[in-house]
Amino acid sequence: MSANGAVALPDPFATVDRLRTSHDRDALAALLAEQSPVYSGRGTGETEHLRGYILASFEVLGLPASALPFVVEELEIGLNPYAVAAAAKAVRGAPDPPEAITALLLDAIDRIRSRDDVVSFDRSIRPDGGASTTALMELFRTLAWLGPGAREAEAPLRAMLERRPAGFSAQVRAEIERALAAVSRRGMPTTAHCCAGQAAPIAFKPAATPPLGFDIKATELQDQDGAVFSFGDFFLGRPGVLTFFYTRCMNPNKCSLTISKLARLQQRLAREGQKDRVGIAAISYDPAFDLPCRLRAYGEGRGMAFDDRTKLLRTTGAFEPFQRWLDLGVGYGASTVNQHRLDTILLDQSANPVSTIARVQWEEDDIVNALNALH
Amino acid sequence: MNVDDYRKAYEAELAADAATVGATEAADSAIGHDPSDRIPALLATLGDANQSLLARIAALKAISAIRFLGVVFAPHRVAFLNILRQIAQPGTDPQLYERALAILAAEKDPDTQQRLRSGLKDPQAALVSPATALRLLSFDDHAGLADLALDVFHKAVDLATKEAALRVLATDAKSQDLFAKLLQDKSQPRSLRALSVTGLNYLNPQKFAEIAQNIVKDHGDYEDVRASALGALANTPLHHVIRDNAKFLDEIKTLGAQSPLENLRAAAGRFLTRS
Repeated sequence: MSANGAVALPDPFATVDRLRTSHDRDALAALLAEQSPVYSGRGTGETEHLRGYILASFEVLGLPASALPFVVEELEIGLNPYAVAAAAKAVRGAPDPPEAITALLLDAIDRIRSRDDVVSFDRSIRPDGGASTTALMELFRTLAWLGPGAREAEAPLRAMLERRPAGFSAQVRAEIERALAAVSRRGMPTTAHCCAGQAAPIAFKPAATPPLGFDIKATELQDQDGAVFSFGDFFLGRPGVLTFFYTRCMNPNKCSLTISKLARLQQRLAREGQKDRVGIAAISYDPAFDLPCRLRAYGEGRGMAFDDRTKLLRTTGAFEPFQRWLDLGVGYGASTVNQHRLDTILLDQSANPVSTIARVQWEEDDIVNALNALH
Repeated sequence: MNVDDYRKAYEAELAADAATVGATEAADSAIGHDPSDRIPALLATLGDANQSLLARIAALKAISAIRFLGVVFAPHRVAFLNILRQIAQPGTDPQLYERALAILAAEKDPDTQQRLRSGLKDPQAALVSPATALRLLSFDDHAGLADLALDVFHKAVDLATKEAALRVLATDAKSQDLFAKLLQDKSQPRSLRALSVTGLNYLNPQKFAEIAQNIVKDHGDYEDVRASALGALANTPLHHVIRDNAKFLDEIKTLGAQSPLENLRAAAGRFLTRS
């Protein structure tokens, strides 16, 4: 049973195998959602392995549009070699890979270099049983698959080969050479356009919330100093920026970075004279563990200056009402969160969500511009 | 594990380490000024079952040192992990086998974690003692180990395993009631109560402060448990609130000045001098 009471499925890999056999790509993509019951009660390692197993299916089945954000997210911030390798394989099933994929693959290579490991997507092969590919090798194979469409990778690949001391094993260097040859092919058409190499702009989506049967604004919260108040008490009367985190998050590109960015946003709003006009808060996914003293230490360590407009919060009861209200992408293992996506919500003066940014890290400009549009 | 057993085990480990000094020096000299040149030879020694145990352990130690040189070691990481996976199989000398398991567990290797879990559920499949398995699995605090550790705690008959299970549960918020119960139960082994001091203080400082104050005041309780509780009260985030309780503060002052129990007197001194 998971920390939020959900019951785990006995053999989720068999479920994935069945969906693979029936070529049900949409059903497989639906299983990628962090809150899917297939992950309930499992540890993070097992969860990442299962997600990787699902992602790798799309190399053969074809990558549906609904799965692409998961692939991009894994390449952008993933640290698990198996899951990142799976995302790289999934790209090879995309009919028209987005332009930014090349830059994401290069970023992933840089991140995985010191974490590489053998990977096998054949469940009949044990980890010590001769799997002959690694996460790095899969990333370079995908660059090779992209061919001249990944021409921007040419110079970085050359630099990798020339680096001394050599940063890659002989096997990986062979893959780099193959990728370099593929992306450097001349006379081949490329799909480059005006935005080649640039990250896609942050997309705000209108927020849609389901009827809950209770008033979320009355939900009780506690801040980093132990003060207790309702969600409405904090957010009503001014626009707000709401995000989610937990102090035990292991990926420095997720919660830690999110809270650091909130701190920078707070400083920027203060410089622009907007400090008192916006509420800024992050609510913990893990309220039973994230006691006020932990919230305070976590926020202060990342530059937050707490005041009556800027707080780190936890629910005094279950977190589940917020998960239901905002359909947050978070799953739970036996004791804590096993995976989560990045979710940031902009609230209007009535504390209603007006737009969301999911699965990508935002920049301060994105939030400030959106807030200005709300005023 | 009691102190005598721990001392014996540690002395045995030191003796084994002393025996590997010669082999380690040889490995160190093999490293020379450019470690990247020597890593393949060290990996070959580590993976060669025909080499002596001392030479293989020395190679593992040398490689462990080189691992800090991230860029230098990166090209060899996959080969190193594969060798460890071969070593971490039944039949290898336990001294090498457990070292390999520990590194793989620290790397959160899924297969190693699964095998350690299986051993906790089925003693026939156990790679190492339950206490060691729990310790290795606890390297990953997202392994979702709480339910299994609780089960092990309730079923175990030896103290070392129970202690290891409590150390794991000290990060599980659901376990605070267990720690509260153990802490207040004078019939429990004192080491379990001492671990409960740490566990409850970490998971619920407020509840701990309430219980700990009663324990400190209880002259019928064990000195070491009272001293542990008072020591933790000196460092709890609620220390300033507890100090505002004039009656309790007077009791601590009396303990610090008059108690014949040395540990308790020292703990009282630390509590009172904490600003």
